Amino acid sequence: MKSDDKSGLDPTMSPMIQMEHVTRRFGRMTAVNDLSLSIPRGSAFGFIGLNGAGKTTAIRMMVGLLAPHAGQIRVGGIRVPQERDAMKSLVGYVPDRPNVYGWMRVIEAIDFAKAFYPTWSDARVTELLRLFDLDPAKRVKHLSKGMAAKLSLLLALAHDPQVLILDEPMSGLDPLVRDEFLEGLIEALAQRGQTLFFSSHTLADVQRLADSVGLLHEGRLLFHKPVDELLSQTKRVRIVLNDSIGPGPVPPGVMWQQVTGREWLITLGDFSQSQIEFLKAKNQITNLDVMDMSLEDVFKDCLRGMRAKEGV
Amino acid sequence: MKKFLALLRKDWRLNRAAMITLLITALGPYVLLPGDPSQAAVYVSILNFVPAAALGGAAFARERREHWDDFLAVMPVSQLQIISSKLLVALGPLALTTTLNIAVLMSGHSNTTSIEGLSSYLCLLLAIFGLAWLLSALLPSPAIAAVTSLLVVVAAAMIDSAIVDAAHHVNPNITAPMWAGAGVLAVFAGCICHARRLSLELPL
Repeated sequence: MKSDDKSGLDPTMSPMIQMEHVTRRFGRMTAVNDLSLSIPRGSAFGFIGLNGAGKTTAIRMMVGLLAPHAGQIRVGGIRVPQERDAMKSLVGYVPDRPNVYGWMRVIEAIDFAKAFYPTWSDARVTELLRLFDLDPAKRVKHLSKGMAAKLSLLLALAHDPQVLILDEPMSGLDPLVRDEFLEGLIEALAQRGQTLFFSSHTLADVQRLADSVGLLHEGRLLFHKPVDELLSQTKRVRIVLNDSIGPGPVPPGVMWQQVTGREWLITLGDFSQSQIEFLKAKNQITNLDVMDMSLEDVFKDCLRGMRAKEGV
Repeated sequence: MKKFLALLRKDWRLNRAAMITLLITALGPYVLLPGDPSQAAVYVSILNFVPAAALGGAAFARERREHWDDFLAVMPVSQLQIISSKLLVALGPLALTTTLNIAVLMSGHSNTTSIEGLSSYLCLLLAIFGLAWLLSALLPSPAIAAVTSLLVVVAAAMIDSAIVDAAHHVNPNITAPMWAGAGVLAVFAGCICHARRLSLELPL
């Protein structure tokens, strides 16, 4: 089967996660539509998209909690869900809402999980308990959301998985706890060479953690690119027009545009100097600035552009 | 083995309320009627339907409602082990108390005790447990699963009894194997529903 991966990442690196033409429906709604994705070993991938874009469904298929209706998924070379049981020990999974037995104490949850993993490391648990400032005697149901997320992360990390899959683990956490969580994650992953696959609405975190990023919209992958490449190739151009005629034709690669009075904002994908030359040639311009964009701005403009095309 | 022991401990803790019910119904009549164990055993037999329903109803519902089963589902443990542990924890204590109670009944020379009567009773017990087990795989509440199974099976048994009584030539124990069969089928169906649930659930 031909891979439709859009990452632009080094294809010689063996993929840790591979999804090929994966589709999942719920009744008449298609939650994930022909998704193809390849995540190399040791890389960090950020999965972004609006609520209901299909991120959680894609992740749940990846960890074997849902079966796809079409397509193939491999994690660490193992077919999911067909060989799900063999795959589970490779994966550490942190769901969007903590799902550890509420009546267990933190230490009981750790002991429970320990029984299932031969690679479990008590030393790592001790280190992570300290790092996350978790009280082993506290009941899980009495943990704050941030602490419960940290416990899930501890349980996911303690067996030293080859791949860590996090589904919006930082949603609902206050900024301080989110920072602590992120620091803990970065520290925990440092020098271990684990593959990280995570979804998040906090795009500053994605920009900070991810090597590559994929944008899912209505179940379809709009792009999958290395973060640096995406940011260097996407620019916002602010033009002040010198008359009231309005903007002229736009060059190819326009992601989104907005005109307010004489100010014309254009977001350009695959940015090049020729696009600027085109704009200068076709418009009477008083001033033109090319600005770098954050991942959040790229995300917003990409979705605004999609909505404009769809006529929403 | 380590995995299975961890599952057993977890299921034992999850079934705590049903276990307490079992303990109360299994010992209560003997405590209240210390001088008449045979009579106490008759009461225990009747009350035993309640823990049978409670233990069946506790199988999956709460874990699914709280999303704890997802925690388990991503761990390297098979559905067979998960379900075996649940069956053992639910049926083990129920079988033990029922066997002891039947031993008391049999030793009491009660004229109400007959092999046919006991087998009908056990079949009915199995039907209640089975239906509660199946409903637990489908409903979000262990209590609703238990109460529904109890009401449905008791009502069906009463109708069945009335029909058998009306037809004078019919052996009153002829329908007992049907109850047992229904119970076993319901347990199987519950296991399949639980295992399949992962692909049936709604998007989050």
